[in-house]
Amino acid sequence: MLETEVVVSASPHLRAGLSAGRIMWLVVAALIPMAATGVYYFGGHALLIILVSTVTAICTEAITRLLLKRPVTIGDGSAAVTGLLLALTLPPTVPLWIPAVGAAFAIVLGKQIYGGLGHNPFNPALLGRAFLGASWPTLMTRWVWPADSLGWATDSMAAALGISVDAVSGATPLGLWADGITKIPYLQLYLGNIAGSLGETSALAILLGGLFLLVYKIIDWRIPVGYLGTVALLAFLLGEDPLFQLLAGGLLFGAFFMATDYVTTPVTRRGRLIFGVGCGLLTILIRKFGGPPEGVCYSILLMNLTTPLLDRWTVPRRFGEVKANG
Amino acid sequence: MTRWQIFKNGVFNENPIFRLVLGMCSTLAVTTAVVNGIGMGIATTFVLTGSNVIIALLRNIIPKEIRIPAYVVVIATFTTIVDKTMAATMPDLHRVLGIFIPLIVVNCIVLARAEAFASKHSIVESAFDGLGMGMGFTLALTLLSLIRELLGTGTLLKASDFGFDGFSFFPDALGVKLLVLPPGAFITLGLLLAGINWFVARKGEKSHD
Amino acid sequence: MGKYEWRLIVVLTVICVLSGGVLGWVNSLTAPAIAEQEKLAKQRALQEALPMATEFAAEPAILPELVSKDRTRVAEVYRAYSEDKPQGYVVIVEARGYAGPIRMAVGVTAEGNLAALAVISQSETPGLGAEIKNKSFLTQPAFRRAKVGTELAVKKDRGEVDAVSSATISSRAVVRGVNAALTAAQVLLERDQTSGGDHID
Repeated sequence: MLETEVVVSASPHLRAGLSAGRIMWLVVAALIPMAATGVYYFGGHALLIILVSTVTAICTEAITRLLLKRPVTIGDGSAAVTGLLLALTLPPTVPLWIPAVGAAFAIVLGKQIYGGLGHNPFNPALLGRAFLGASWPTLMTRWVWPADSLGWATDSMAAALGISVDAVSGATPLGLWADGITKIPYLQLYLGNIAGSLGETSALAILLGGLFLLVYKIIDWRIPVGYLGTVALLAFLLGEDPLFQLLAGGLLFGAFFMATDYVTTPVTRRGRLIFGVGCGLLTILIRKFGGPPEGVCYSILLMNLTTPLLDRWTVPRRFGEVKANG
Repeated sequence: MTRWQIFKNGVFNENPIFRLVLGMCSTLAVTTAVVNGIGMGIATTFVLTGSNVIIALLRNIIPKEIRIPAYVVVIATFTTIVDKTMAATMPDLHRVLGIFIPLIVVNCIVLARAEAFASKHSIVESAFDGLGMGMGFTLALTLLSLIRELLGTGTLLKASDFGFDGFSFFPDALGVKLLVLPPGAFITLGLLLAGINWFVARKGEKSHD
Repeated sequence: MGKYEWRLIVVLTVICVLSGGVLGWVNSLTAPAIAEQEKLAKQRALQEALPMATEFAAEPAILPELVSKDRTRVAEVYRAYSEDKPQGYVVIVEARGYAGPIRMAVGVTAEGNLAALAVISQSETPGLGAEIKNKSFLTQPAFRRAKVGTELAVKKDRGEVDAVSSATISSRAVVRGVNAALTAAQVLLERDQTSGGDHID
């Protein structure tokens, strides 16, 4: 076996060479606002979920690489990012073995089985989440409302929502919408004191982190803009409230942090735009016509599969090249 | 090859699932519980052995040009016999396995053995090949369904349609439900195939040293 | 045609004829047993749905207003008797679940109360939707209290029925089936009352 892996391939070289380390730690920094709001709203258990998920991801990565007799790659931060991202997609009530199992699954079957960072077709964190959601659907849909979130709701409204004011379990805003019950005020969706996954509730925190990544040019605006624009447009055309559809659920989080993963999304500009639009289309289709109330996770995973095709389809032509079979 | 070698060949070296990767449709679909896996395996073994014997018997009579339709008629006959017999004697298992019993007729492994083995070998050899391949198929199905049932629902040998609760190892709610769902079939089979290929490759390397 | 071509035709024909003969023989052996098994399975389901009855007679008059509605179908209706006394009805319904039709027997007593439910066949996801055939779901208070004239719904739809967790679609299908069966029973009850009740034959 070669000591260091040298990839030799014919041009055009579609894979972006990334100095993974620096980028990954910047992503970790961008995720801090979401982690912080999650802990603020849902308490110490949320912090434990984040820690367990991140530590398990890093340890699993190290152990797998050692067993495979390959260089240990935890220094590039990608395992930490996977663990952190996964934790932020979990409901705040899950027992602690859930993030552990999910993170291990994400690293082993989502990433290392394909050969490690750069070879995985799916976003590992989302794959881990999809695995957890399919395997333990009951645990993965137990939502709670932050304790201070019910100020706006009168007792009768709370009763209609199926949440009592002292016991704060209840459906997510999207779940309530899917059952046609009620709409949550925009400000609350924006600040994030609503039921939902750890990192998805506060639009403000996500926008802060996303802006940070955009300013440092770590992510391309085309994917989030294509994604969010498509959702808003289709929601409007289908007679739904576009702003509610944008703010509720995991859409913003997915658009800025999941759909922008380097490895599993196209490298060409046009490809990225198409990727974003595809995610948006699938998300609205699942939300409006599908069984589960939320569809961000599966939309991005499905679009991940189209990445090689989109890349090939949108390769920029060299100057002067004549289109084949014109 | 001795008869024993022919039998062993079907179970190990040319295991229909793990080495030839044939007959995936029913394999992926019915292996949610051990009872289903074993039932399917035995039904397929019967069809394999029966059609192998008849085709070996007729191998010098059937002209080359019509051998495929002739084989298909023989295989379909045995499949229908299994289907009817099962419906009459084991209605519960028959209901659980559902459409996959009649579909044995299109299981690649049956036609493949007819074409590749029974049409060129004696009746006894073909019978051993059918039994060996059938055992290999049953073994693979049992292994797959064992993993999926145990990890997916926490039980083993559960057959509620027969009023038998099997052995329970942990509460159903903790089971990895994904393994019982269709994607779980693909993931389990893929990991098993990878593991067996790795094992075979390592054994090959060692014997070269 | 040459001699060889004739041989092809003859061989294939003989194989087909032999196969047909064998299958005919197997069929003659198994057909009575299969019919018997099907009858037994149906009898078991009817018995389970209305335990106090001992005999069941198929109601030949299909109720036209109930044939098919909202992905739910009233398939068969049985009048139930015990020592020639009418005990109520068993309605066999089919409701479209998550993965396919869910076929159930719903027993309704002569007083119009729901007696019991029995799932005859279903193809819901094992471990999730398939849990609808569990006793804990089928014998819950909301079903035991149900009677003709009430409309059931799962809790998510503001009803009283506890859905199987993470399997709302399957649970809703069962509830739709029960509602359809209760409506069918109601029509029968009213018809029997106006015609003076009991009419065997």
